[in-house]
Amino acid sequence: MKKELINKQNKTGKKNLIGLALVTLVFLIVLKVFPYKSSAVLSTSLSYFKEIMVILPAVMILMGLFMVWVSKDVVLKYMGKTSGL
Amino acid sequence: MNSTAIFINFFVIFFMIVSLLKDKDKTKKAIIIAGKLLLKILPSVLMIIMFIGLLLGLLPQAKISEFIGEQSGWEGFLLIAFLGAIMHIPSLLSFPLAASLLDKGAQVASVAVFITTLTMIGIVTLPLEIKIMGKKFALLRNGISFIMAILIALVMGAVI
Repeated sequence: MKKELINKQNKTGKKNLIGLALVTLVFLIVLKVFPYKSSAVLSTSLSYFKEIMVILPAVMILMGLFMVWVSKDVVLKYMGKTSGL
Repeated sequence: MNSTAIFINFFVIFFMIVSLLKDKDKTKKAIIIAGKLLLKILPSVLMIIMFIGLLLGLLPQAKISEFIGEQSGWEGFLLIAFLGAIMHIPSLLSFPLAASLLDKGAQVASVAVFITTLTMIGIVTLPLEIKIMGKKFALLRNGISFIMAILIALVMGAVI
């Protein structure tokens, strides 16, 4: 079961990369076909990239700390069947 | 940098310092996990960012509000609900996308249904969910989620 899960995860990772390649291709083609729109497209993309990048690393570190410090037992205690509503 | 970002970063730095003082190895482990998670999510981040750029850069505002604005009616609403159900984006990334749609003249109910179906329903991940959680669980959960998403959106549209 666990091996299957890991396999599946690798597959979704590959799918993500293929998707990224496709979107990048479309992105570049659009920039080439509509040169007069390219500055608008690039600037919106860049502003969203900045917005996400100031939050994302912090969130990931928070998740990492959570995984390391909060043991499975604690999660089970508060979210398991016996935790009550 | 907006206040949310500053708050989150200070919050995380504080916890990192506490963690470092308590246990160096565990903190190191946490940072390694964080790096792996970041690498894993990065392709989707870049994908969404380019998608938003294309969407907002190419489509004029009038077109967007025509599809999912006030005058779009039920068709636009259901269209974006299904779109949200099919698309597979981490919720963290769905908010900037949703905010950009709202900015461009989408109605509140449409944006709410988009975020809700996006986060609660995964048609792409349905086969995996069926495999792990069982058919009954997965189908019921997704079905009820869709109905609830529409209810939530209608309430949101009425309230805001």
